[in-house]
Amino acid sequence: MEAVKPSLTALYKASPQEELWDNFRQGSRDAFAVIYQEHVDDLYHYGVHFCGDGEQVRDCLQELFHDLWQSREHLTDQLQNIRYYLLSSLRRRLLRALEKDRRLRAQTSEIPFDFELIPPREHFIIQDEKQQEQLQQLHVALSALPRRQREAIYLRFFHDLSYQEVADLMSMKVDSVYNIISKAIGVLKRMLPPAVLLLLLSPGK
Amino acid sequence: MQQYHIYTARDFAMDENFQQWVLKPDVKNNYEWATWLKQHPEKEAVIAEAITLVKSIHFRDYQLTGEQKDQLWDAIWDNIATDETAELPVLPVANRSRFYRLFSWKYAAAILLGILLGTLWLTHTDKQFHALTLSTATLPGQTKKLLLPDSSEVLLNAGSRLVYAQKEANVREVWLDGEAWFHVRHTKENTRFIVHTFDRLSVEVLGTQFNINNFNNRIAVVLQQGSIKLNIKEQQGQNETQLYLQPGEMLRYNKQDGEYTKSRTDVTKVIAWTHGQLMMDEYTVADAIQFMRQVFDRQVSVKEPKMLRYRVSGSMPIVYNADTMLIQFEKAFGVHFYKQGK
Repeated sequence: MEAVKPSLTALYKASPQEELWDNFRQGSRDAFAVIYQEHVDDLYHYGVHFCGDGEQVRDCLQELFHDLWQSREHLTDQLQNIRYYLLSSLRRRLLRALEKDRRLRAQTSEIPFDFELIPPREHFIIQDEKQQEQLQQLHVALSALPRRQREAIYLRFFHDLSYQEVADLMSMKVDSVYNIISKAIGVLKRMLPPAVLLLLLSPGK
Repeated sequence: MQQYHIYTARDFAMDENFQQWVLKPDVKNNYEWATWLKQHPEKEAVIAEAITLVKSIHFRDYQLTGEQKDQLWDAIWDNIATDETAELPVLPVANRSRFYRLFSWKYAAAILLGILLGTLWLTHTDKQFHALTLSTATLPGQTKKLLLPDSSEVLLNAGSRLVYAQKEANVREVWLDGEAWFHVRHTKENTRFIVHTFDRLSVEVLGTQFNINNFNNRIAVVLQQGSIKLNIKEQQGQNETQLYLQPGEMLRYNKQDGEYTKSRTDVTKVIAWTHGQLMMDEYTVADAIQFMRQVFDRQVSVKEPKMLRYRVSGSMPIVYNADTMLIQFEKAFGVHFYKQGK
């Protein structure tokens, strides 16, 4: 007998999280498909930023969703945020996989965190070299932040986790998360003076 | 709301509620911030700066292709299917005991019945076809991302309406009023995908990415990838003109006189809205007024007609908040817009 695989065809709609989670726990394959559909892109994005290896991330995601389905009956009914739950689960799996990988290859290399911030080029029109240079400096300054800090910024701004959730996920204090982000905003504020900030647009003739 | 009146741009950029509004605007926070701004008009510049601060945090993009996503989903279900098979009771191995002989016919019959039912079920679901109609719409200032039942993706711009219908197995059809970007999934059976416009023009594709803007009296179709066929019915008679678009080409169609022109265009500019960007190339005040009407259903005007021709080039983030967007336009053009009506 074949397992009944739901097709990814349910019209995509953001159903209330709790209802979705309840349906999923009760074995709704459609709810499972919606959860996959809603989160797989973001999880992949995080994974590749985390370890830089798309194939590794896909393997971990396959395992994650498989385990999620198999253990659905034992999962909590008090889930605050599905995204947070999935992200932290992926993070643990990636860490474990990288750990194993390192032992196999007997290498001592650092875990290759990425979380590369890119200059917000598309927001601005670069009119002269000076501004081009400013953006370049901004990129350098942001890239110079330690990777753990970049990860925290990434989780808050890309994945919309609250300061508290970022802190929990990365096992740090909320104050530290707050400080990290304050520092990053400070860099932005310094590097992008209001003249550059307010759209480099000049009224036409 | 807290001590916001003494906040600097940096304080705002650090505030979770504020970030939430910039990153994930919705009806509730749009309303709250619009109300707050109305009470504190002197904070406009500070807010605008804080918005840009938050919006300037960008990370390199990595994406799964549609194919990878489907493969991954298949792999997950293959594993689950394997688990579920393993859970089925194992039949006793042949052991010619009296018990076995007595009951073996029962097993044989049960297995046969199982196979029969299984086959029936499989052939049934294989051939099964559901006629289906779905519809959805966006309010002014709201966009929606949709996944159609055939796995095609649609990004519906503000103030638009989309109806999806599958009446026959070999054709997928949608009706569009407003603007949408389509990523149509190619099916194994080469099912056609047709976009109707409530007018004489329709667009037919197999699998590709394109943008259609169908507001007021004109329709603009822009092809990003692949190829599409356009069918235009003549005003009198039943004849149809068919033409094809190449990637990077745009067709403009005038609903009133049925005239159309084909031209080359910068696709990234046309589809920038799907990434929340407005890319302006010699963009006029008149274009901005049209934008406010299409996206927010807001009527705005300027003091003197000659101002309509003021133009700028560049880009700005699209903020799905009419007032903030208007402020951005005012800054860009250096003109004041007057609100009319509601």
